[in-house]
Amino acid sequence: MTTTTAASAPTLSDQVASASQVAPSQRAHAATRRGVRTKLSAAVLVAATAFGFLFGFTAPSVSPVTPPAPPSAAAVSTPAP
Amino acid sequence: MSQRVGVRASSPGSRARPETVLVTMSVVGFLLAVWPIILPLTRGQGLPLLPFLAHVCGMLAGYGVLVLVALMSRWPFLERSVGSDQLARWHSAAGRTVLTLILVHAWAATQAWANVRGESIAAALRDVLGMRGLIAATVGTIVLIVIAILSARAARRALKYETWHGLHLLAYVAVALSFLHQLAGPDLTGHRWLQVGWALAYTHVFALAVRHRFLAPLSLARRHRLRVVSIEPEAPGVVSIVVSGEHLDELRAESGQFFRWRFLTPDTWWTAHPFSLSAPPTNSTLRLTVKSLGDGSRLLQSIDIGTWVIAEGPYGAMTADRRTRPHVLLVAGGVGITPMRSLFESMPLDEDQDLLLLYKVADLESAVFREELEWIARGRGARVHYVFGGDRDSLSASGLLELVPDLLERDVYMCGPPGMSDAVRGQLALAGLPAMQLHEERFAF
Repeated sequence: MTTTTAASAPTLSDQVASASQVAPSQRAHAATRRGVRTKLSAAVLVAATAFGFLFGFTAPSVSPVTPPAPPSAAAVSTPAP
Repeated sequence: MSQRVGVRASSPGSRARPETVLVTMSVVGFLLAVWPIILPLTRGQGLPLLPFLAHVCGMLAGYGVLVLVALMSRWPFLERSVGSDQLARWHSAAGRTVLTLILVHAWAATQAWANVRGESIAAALRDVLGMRGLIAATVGTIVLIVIAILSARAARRALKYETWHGLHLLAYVAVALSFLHQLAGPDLTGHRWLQVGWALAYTHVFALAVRHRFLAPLSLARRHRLRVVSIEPEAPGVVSIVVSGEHLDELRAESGQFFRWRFLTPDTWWTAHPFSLSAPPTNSTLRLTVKSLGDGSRLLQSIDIGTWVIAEGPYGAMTADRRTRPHVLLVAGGVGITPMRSLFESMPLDEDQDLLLLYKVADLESAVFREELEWIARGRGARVHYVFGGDRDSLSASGLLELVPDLLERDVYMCGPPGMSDAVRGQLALAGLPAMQLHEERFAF
């Protein structure tokens, strides 16, 4: 079962359009907020870069997980008396 | 339980096609996978199968972890380009792949060690775990395995969203635990700038998550000072919560979008739930509508007036600016009516344009916003068409074409439970609706 309701009247699109208008003072606030966000992003970027270099330059230069060569025949052979 | 995994964020800003994002990630992954093959060749060495597997899987797993964190960082560029729901699906698929790579890497490396040393696998495992950073990496892997098991569909159903979400956050700890092992891996050591690059990639991706998951909501909370000002029952187990705040126009939220809401009460402060705006936003108020589907949403039914709120967003691309055609069909199912109700009120509409809302509900009595919808319909010259309970014909391809003869000339916006959405999506495609004309928001936990 379905039912439909319908009617005709002026649209609300004009109201919606006017509601979305932004006053100059609000634009100034928005610009201020963008400035704050930019500074925050810059601070996080600088911190991430600093930590990245720190971790990268202090990382081991020789891998502790490189397998050693298998014991060679010479190494395991007993020296001649 | 969360009610939604949303779609593309549409607030202004740069964006890329999802395919471009996917191809870029794949190309970087391919280059990293090739590096462990190039490295021994430049040294004139061969690479037996097991070490080859260990190296390639290790590099790809390390990169995959980065991708996993980036996908869930709420980075606006990715949210706009790909969409929250698609990002969540990619994250889920990539998570399974990365875990497989980690396990293959661990097995191949240990087995290769055992072969080289002529040891048993147990002795090799003991040797390997004794190396610097390996215990931490192993603990991290175990944590990731537990998270993966709990994220499996069956396990997830048995868990509260809040519990699952809390455990999932441990993944960050698991990744941090494996970081030293990655930097000290044989593919990076001896190449200082490669180590620096790898470390920079990790710190920047973690910074993205910190910036957008933690600092951005705090910054918004400080600026907008959101508080609950009213709670209105809409239907059994469904309430609308009106939140007031300052400078809300700066959010540039639109009908069809959603926020992740964190209500600062002792019981609810630690999880953020995604809920759509159920009315067009104003400069001082936002309204969301919550159906009791789990512990989190049940607690919100009786939240105190005056409760402080942190809202993260807006997210979602199911907005009027995605429209390509003059006429519009909105399809809603269950609590998926919330973003549709907001769009129904604010979708720009000229006199020669038609707006039809198709609302699937169990019966007329259980329809949420019934009076509001009829009031909006009267005010706009729009129509609401209810589809009840077991009526499957109306949502079939032929039923839809009969109900909306100019269906193919319309943009269709849809939000509903996964079963209904999947079925209607298929029927719309069967009816011949071009995919570009379907704008969808899927909600699920």
